[in-house]
Formats: sequence, structure tokens, C-alpha cells
Amino acid sequence: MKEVVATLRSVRLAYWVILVLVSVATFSVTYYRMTSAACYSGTVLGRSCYRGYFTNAVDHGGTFVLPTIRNNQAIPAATINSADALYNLLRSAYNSSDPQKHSGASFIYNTMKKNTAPGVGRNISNAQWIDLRDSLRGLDQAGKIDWRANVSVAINSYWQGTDEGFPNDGKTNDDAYYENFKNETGITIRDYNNNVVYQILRRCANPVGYPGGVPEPRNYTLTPHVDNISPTAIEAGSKMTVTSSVDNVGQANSQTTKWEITQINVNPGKQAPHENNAGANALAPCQSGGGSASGDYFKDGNSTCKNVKKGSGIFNLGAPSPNLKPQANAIDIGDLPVGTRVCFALSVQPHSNTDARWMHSPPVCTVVGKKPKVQIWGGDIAVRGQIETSTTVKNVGGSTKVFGSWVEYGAFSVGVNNRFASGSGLNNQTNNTQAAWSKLTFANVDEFGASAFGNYTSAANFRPAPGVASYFASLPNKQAVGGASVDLSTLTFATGATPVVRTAGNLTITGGAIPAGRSVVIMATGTVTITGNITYTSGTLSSIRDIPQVVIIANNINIRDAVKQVDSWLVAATTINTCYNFAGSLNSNKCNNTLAVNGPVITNHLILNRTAGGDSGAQSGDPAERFNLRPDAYLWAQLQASGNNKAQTVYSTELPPRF
Amino acid sequence: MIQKRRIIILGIIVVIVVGASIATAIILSQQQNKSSSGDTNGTSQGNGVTPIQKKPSEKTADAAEKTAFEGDVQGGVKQLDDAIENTSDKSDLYIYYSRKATLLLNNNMLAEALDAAKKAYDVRNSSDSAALVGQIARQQGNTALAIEYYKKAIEHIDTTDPFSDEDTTYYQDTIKELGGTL
Repeated sequence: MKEVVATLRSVRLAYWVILVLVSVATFSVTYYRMTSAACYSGTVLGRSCYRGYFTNAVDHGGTFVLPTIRNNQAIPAATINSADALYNLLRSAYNSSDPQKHSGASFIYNTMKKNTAPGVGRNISNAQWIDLRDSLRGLDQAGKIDWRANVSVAINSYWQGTDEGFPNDGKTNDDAYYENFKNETGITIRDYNNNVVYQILRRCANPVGYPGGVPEPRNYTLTPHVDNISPTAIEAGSKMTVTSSVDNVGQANSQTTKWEITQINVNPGKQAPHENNAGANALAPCQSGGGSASGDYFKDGNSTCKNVKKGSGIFNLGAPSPNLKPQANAIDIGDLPVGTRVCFALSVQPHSNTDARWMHSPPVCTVVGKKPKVQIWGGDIAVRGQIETSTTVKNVGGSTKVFGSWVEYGAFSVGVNNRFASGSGLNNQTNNTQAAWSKLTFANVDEFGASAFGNYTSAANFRPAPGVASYFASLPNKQAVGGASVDLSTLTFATGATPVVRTAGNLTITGGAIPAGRSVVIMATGTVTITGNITYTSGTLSSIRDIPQVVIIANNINIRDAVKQVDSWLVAATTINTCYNFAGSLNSNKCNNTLAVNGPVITNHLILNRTAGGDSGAQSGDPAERFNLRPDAYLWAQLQASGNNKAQTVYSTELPPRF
Repeated sequence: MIQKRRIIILGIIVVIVVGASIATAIILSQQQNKSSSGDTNGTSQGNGVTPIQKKPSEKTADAAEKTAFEGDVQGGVKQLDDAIENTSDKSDLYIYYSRKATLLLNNNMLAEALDAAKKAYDVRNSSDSAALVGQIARQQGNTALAIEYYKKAIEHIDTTDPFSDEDTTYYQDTIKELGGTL
């Protein structure tokens, strides 16, 4: 002992100092290596710090939960900015054979779902992943995921698969939480009440903070409807408007949704595709016209289709959704044949938060009809009421044409003239302004000089109707027809001779081919029904007395649908009906022969029931009825009045000089 | 002979002193580890322990951040300023300043964010707080300040952290990207 003391005393102070320094250094190094980083108290998802989530193994060293991909980031900010992108990254990592990636993705899945360790482990079903994807989609759509912001949290995590040489370190294929304050770029997920429920760092894909559980998606289901199509009475080339809406039933506004309005042209008498069973389908509505690819849901052997409007947007909750109502205006339906069914449908995709397919509305249809036209050649039209006609504007052969009814010369009316042309104005017309084709409309300006059509004068001052009936009534030598039905060719008299007026009550004229030099005058107190063509000879006429002519005077004159030509004067005290014998409502399949009347027409009511003409293409302007006041009527009338077989067209007389 | 025995005695003394230092270090570190986690040696299952609770300061910061997210950024900042005003606890101050800096940064209020981040760094000289200053300075275009603080971030890296190596590399790379030298 004495020797020990002596030995200690013999050591110089400097050596003792050196010994102390060595001792302190040894302590520091040992303590530094043996002491773990800070650790939270309690558990995160059932695990205390440094314990593997899946295995509960303690392992203090490790690295990123997922390896970096680009720009020193495991979740690159340049590419992962949506729920689907994040989901795809996680699924790809999960499917990897790399244990770090597989465990990392599984760890993220379980912690996002706030599953207490070990959660569902590292075998996550497709349905479970899809469920998570839908949750993320719903939150992302609701603006609850911040893809750009920094996160600032006190809990971090790591993959335990590398050995850093820490105490209790190893190579455990697992992920664990520990306490570590982090301020750096990450992704923040909030619930629908704006509370932060999940945060993950971009650099390392480490889940950080306190997992609150990604909430289940708020569901929504979209059902599209076509609410209205207008007009419903259409013809080829019509412009239509479609209004529609979408019901959003559920708990949340939709995500951004594509919508498309489709026009479907269906052959006459056929049904549109899915007219009675439209619904959810993977097929897009129609590719033609710029519609989405992958399908022609509204096309079949009897139908063609085209997209007429498309867009995308969010449909807020509501039935109908209040903020977005797809509409298409001024749709040119095209130059379609009469009878074609024109239908419109609305489709949306995806139609729910869990179903990415399209949802199609039932098509709403109308039928292409026509607006029959009338033409008056060789004279004027004089009407004591209004003139109401219509025009059709359509593209024919690449240029816009205006079709309608017209008179060759003047149009006189006591009332308004609405879109009836004068001076042959709608013959090959391209201007849709009425003033452009109303040069002989009386009047065509108002008292201020502005365009206004009709209202020529008062009824009292209007020109009187020609006294044709009274003239023939005054003639002697009348003879009864003597039957209820007659062929006019059996009732003729020689043109230029004293007219033989045939009288009747009600009379059916079965037709008649009138030869040269023969005429017929019918004067009936009742209704004359014309059931067959009345035609003048087409042979050469050598004098005015060769002109054939028919005058039919009656209370009413009805013309049967099959009659195509009536070479006759038609004078009716009450009504002339160009087609009377159809059942039910008039449509394009009834009274569809063009009627040509060659002679003057005088009546109180003119009923134009013919439906011919007004078709597609070059036939768009063809009239249903054509009234032609030809010169033969004037010449024949002049002969009746003068008894001379010459028509004097020039008259001169010598007058005494005047000084 | 006496000299040889003295050398042996001195050697024994040195071994005892160094051994005592090591033993003390081990004992103290284990006590420290136990006080941090309660169990880090793997004998416990790790389940059934009380779930971690957020500190009141974190809850306050969460509420401020929610206020800002819902559109009232100034309201959120004010909540944090009030909290800062009413505490002297360094741990809480660090959380408030860090969260305030993050809130301001996320709303592109860089000057105010930098000020808050520097205060967080002043409260706690950590790698993370230094890196946040560096990040904000970088976004402001203040390269010199960014490099300065990224270097501080490297200095303060806790080598007991599982990511000490990764963080070191990351900050070094960032400094190089900014044109700085290590």
C-alpha cells in the first residue's frame, strides 16, 4: 500500500491531467454512442418509438421509408400532385420485390388508415388499396390535400433495414416511428373538417406527425338528364337547343367530370340505341364530332350519332346539381330526311366516386317534319286578312339558302305579311332578311320608312274580288249537270260560242281531259269535290278559240289528295281545300302530292293542306301547291267578254291636233 | 524492480479510471434511454401503452394552422403570436416559432417566415431549425444566408438520429447546388 501511495506521489501533475482528459474523453465517446435519440412517451398506432410497426422489433438505425426517385425526393414534387399519382406510386412500391419499397408502401397504407400495429400487415388486398384510393380522391377533389406545403411536426419515421451502427441497430425489414422534429416539404392531408390527419415528407416518404386516419370518401352519384329540346317541331336544317341537368345524390360535390351532349339521328320509325335502357356503361357516347374515344354507345344499324357539345366541371350536390347545367345552343341538325328521329342524350364520366364508367341519359327525341311552301306564279296575291308563312334556312351544297313561299308579282294584304315573299324573292335566296325579298310587297315600309310588311290599306278600301261568279250567274242557257259525279270532258262547249253554264248542288268531278277549243263552266251551289286531274290539251293551239278552259264556281271546292293537276278557274264563296281526305292529324305521309292549279283562284278561305316539297337538298324549296295564272286564262276571258277571236294587245286611235 | 512495479501500478490505475468512465457512461446512457422510451431493449411487446398525446402547444399550433387553412391567415398568425406572448417554455416556443414560420412560408409570406424561423433557431440550435432558415432564405433568393444556415444544419446534425448520414448528404448537396463550398 505504501508503495502504491508512493507511486501516486511520484506521478507528476501533468500526467494526472492527461489521465483526467483521457477519462473524460472515454466517457463522452461511450455515452454519445450508447445514448439514443430523443424518444416520445406513449405509442403511435400502438408502437413505442424505434419499434417496428409490423414486427415490433427494436432497431434504432435505418433510412428512408421509400427510396428517392428523382430530385432527391421519394415522392417527387414534379410528378406526384394528385390522389391518383400518389396512389400509383404507392401501388408500384407495394408491388416491388424490394423489401424497403414493399414494407414502406404497406406502412404508409396502414398508417393512412390509422390501423393499430401491425394493422393488416404487408398483404394488402386490391380492394383495400382501391378503398384508400377513393378516400384520397375524395379528399383531393374537396381540396383537402396540400401537395406543396412544408410540414412541421415532432414525430418522424424510418425504415429499419440498414445498420448504422447504433446501439440496438440491425437490418430489420420494418418501419418505425421515433421523435424527431421536421420542417420540410411534404404532403398534408386533412379530413373534411380541415383537421390534419396525415403528413408525409417528400424527401423520404416518411409518414410524420400523428396519424389521424384518412376518412372514408364522401360518396356521390351522378345521373344525367336531357330536360328539354327545342323546338320540337323541326324540319331539315333546323337549329335546336338542348338543355340538360345532372342529379348529384350523395354526400359530396363530384370530382371534375366530363360531360357530352350527343345528337342521335334515327331512321324513320326506328328506336334510338338505348332509348329505353340507357345507363352506366364503359363505352363513351359517340366518337364522331369530337366525342370521347372508346365507344359509340349511341350508334347502331339504324342510327348515327355525333357529339354536339362537351365540357367538364364539378357538379355540386343537388338534384339537379345547381351550378352546372350542360346546354347546347343553335345545333344545326343537318339536312335530314322527313321522318328522321332526332334525339339528344347527355352523358357524364365518371359518374360516381367509385365508378369510373360513363352514365348515359335516355335519349329525348323529336321527328323531322317539314314546312310546306306555296308558290303563286303569273299574278298577284290579294288577301283581306294576314299572310302567315314560314321560311327555312339551311345549308345546301355548302352555302346557306333561304326557302319559303312567294308570289311572282305583288303581295297585297290588309293585315300583316309575315315572311311571305313577293317578286319571286325567295327563289334562290341567300338573305334571310324579309326586306331583301319583299320588293313588291304592299306595303314594305311603314309611315316612318322602316321595314314593315303588309297593312296595305283598310278592308273597306281594299280592291274588290273579281266578279267572276256574278258574271257567269248572269248568263242565260244554264243546264243542270244531271248527276252527282261527272267527268268534265263530257260537259264541254265550244270555246268562243255562247257559254253553257252547268249547274249543280254538290258535285264530284272525277277529272277530265279538256281538248282544244272546248270549255266547261260549272256553277254549283254546294260543294264541288275534285277527285281526278283536270287537264287541258297539251297540243298546239292555233287561235284564241282553240284555248280550252274550265271554270268551277261553287260554295266549297275540295280537292282529293291524289289529284296533282287542276287546270281550272277555282271560285269558291266559302272555302277551297287543297287536300281534304285524310284521317287524323296531318303529317308528311298524307297529302304529299304536289298540286298544280292553272287558273285564277278566288275564295274566302284557302286551306293549303298539301305536304309535298320542302324536302332536303335541292328540293328544300319545292312548293306543296303552285297556283299559276297563265296567259291562257286572260286570253280566254277576253274572248268571253268581247266575242272576238282576236285579243287586241295594242290599241291606237288618231286624235285631232291640239293647238 | 521498484520502477517496474510502479509502472504496473500506474497501468492498473489508468485501466481502472478508463473502465470507470466507460461503465459510468453506459449506466447513464441506459438510464437516459429508459427515461425516453421506457423500453428500448425489445423485451416489451410495445402494445398497450398509452397512445401518444399531443402537447398543448402543438394543439394550439394545429388550431392556428386550421384557421389559416380556412382562409384567415392573419388570424392564424395572431393565434401563434398570442401563444408566444404567453409562454416562456423553450420547448413550446420552439414549436410556436417553427409552426409560425411554416404557416407563413406556406402562404408565401417569406420575410415574416424567415424572421420566425430565425427565432426558432435561436430558441433551439438544431439541424432542422437551421435547415428551415436555409430553405426560406433560398426561396427568397438569399443564397449566402441559405448556405450559411445549411452549414449550420450540418453542424447541428444529431449523429444518433437514424437519418444523420442522409441529412448530412442532403444538406451538403444543397449547399453545392447553391454554389457554396463545404
